[in-house]
Amino acid sequence: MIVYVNGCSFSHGHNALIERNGKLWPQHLSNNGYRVENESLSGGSSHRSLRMCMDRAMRHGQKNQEVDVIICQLSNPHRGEFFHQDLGMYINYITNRFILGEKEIEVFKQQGFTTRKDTQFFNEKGESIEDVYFHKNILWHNTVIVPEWQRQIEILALCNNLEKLCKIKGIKLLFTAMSSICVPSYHGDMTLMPYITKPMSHIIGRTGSLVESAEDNHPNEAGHYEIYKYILSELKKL
Amino acid sequence: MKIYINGCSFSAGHQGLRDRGGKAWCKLFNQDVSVINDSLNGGSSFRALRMCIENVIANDDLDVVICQLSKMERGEMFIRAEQLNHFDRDVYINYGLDGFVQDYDRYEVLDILNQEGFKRSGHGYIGEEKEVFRNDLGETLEDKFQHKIRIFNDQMMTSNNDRELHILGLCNNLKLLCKAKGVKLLFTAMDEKCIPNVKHITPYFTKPMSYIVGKQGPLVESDTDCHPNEDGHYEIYRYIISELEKL
Repeated sequence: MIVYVNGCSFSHGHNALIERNGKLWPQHLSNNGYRVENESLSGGSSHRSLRMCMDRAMRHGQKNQEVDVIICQLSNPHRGEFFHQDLGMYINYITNRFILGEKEIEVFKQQGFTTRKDTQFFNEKGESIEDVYFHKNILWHNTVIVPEWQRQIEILALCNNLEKLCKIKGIKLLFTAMSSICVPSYHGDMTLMPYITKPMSHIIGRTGSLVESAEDNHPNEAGHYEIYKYILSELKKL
Repeated sequence: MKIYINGCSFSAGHQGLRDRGGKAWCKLFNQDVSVINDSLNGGSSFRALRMCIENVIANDDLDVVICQLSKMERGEMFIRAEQLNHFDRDVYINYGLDGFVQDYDRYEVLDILNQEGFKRSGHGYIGEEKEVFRNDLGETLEDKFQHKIRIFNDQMMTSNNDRELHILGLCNNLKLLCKAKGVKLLFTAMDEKCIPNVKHITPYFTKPMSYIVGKQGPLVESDTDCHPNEDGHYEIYRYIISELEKL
């Protein structure tokens, strides 16, 4: 059975876990006979997950593109992504910087952003990618100009698009979320909300033996195993 | 029967038609049909969908919703009350590529903007000076409320495909709500470019209104203005009635 997964660090694995080769919940699924394609991104937005799940569902039916289950993990609604027309690619962002995958880093290196300091890249003039590619403008636009409810209903709209497409294409779909704030809600009206599993943070808690540390509530290895068991039980219900 | 309608000038009636007392298709229903028409000249699909959704949620007595989509490049912007000096409510402003669109039917626009320090020049009628609001600093309304940034974000920071999926998602939201509340729903559009087209998930849309009235000929205003005239609106009305009978 082919399972496609897209989410944020709760599905991609946070840096500390990756560095010590810790196992993620999608990897436990792989070991249980599922063929897992995991395109999650640490810091990725719900918009990215939904867009890429939609693309994946669209490709189902083409040669070598079959998929049986899509697991779409929603993330913090204040994260986002935009499409840069000139660069022809999507860029995800959080409040203080862009979130770049390997492909995006390569494109920006070609644009002269070759000096890395922590998580940011700078060009010869000392400008960061965020300076040059309007991070502040995008953030301002999406937090000040676009009201909260509008972001929520847009995410719901994209969830409902994906649900409709999966139904038509015969693909099983599971929505899950990092935490309860990632579950979209339109003024509390439940009609528009698809079924979304218990948020992952409810499974592992905010502190305790299933998270990385008191300061970092990413799931550790034991946390990922608990999430895996829960996701498996949800998959069986589909 | 109670019908809620929201669209652009093809449902509101364009200014020329209104000035001569002509009736848009929404006004041609029998008297036993109660029609609420919140359409706006220059209104966007985002506005039409938002207001349809709000009305379906708020009202339990609607029988039918007719949502008429418009040009995809049009949008809607939210202005918070705290951004205004005197007006104490949040407002929405619709916009096109070249400026904001004022909603004279729903707001006392001139009073509100006067209070905010903006005075109008021009009316924006076809062939006349463009309507512009300017304050004492010489700023236009578009300058003050960052119209250019909004257009930049829409045009340069959003893919057309994503915009289409956003509109389509809102259509599917509305469809879900209507189904849950037992309200009949009809999607229609000004012309075919207004209909988001994504295989498998696009809901049923009627024939676009511009197909019914044509781009020129006896059913439109003139060779340079393809808004439906009185005869055009009557044809649209007849077509919409036939579509409603199929629901």
